[in-house]
Amino acid sequence: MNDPSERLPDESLDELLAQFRAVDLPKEMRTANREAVRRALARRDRTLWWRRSVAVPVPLVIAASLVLVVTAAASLWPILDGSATRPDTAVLGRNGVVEAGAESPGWSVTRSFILSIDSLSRMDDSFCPDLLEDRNDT
Amino acid sequence: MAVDYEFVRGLRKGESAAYEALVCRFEAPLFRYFLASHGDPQLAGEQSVDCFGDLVESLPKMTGGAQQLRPFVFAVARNVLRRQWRRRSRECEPLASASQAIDRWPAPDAAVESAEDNARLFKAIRSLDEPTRNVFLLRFIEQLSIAEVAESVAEPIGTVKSRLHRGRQRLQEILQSMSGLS
Repeated sequence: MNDPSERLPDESLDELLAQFRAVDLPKEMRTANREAVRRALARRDRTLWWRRSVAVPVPLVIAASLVLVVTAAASLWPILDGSATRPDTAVLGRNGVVEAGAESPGWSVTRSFILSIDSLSRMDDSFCPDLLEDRNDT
Repeated sequence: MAVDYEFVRGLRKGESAAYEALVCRFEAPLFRYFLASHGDPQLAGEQSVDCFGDLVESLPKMTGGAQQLRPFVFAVARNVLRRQWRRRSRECEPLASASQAIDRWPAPDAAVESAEDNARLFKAIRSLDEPTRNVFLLRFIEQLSIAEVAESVAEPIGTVKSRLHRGRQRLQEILQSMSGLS
């Protein structure tokens, strides 16, 4: 309390201020204050839940916003970059070897299917030589 | 003034008992604060009512602990005061409606209004500029700490101290000149 701004002005002025501190308000105003609070509380209780607001700490809001922005950027980046429109060009080649740079995925799928049938028929020949011999006999 | 945690929690939850205690605790200080700002008891009464309505809306959003309550209440009061000034400067209220309002609201303690010293003090306080008057009232009439005043007016402690120093000097000058005239 040694700070001059902490001290009250002087004794005479402090006396005046003390009188002013004793100012009280009439009963009607007290009633009006209570009525105002009662009305405001009733209004607040009637407010629908989705129109109510809550206090959220600013750092939390900033962190949540950053997470949202980063997530959105990460999911939108391939589209904006154009890489998402490019088809997967690594497809099976003639001998089951992965070839890069094939142009049509649809064609590649069909081709892979045909190649797989072809390879299955060769598997029959190699795993069941008796069958092949029977066929030759007939 | 010890404001306990349970009391503030009750206010945040909207408990009517807590608001009753709030009104009991702050109605006289708020009335004095408004009255000292403009000297109109009827308007001070209306502003107290507005302020309590605003407090019901804004108290659930109050951040900080129980020690923030007093600065928060006076910060809301300051907003009510500013809103009123803006409204009055737009509307320029006629004198007739003011007299009707006084009929509705009886004047406060007659002794206060009739006392010459208090009238001088009112006049002197009102002649201070708004920021200085605000910190002066909160510190010397409502006896908030410097830190509470700083929080209430959202200004640094150093600024509040210099305003108080200036306000005290100015008030003494005004009161001396008034007593010299009378």
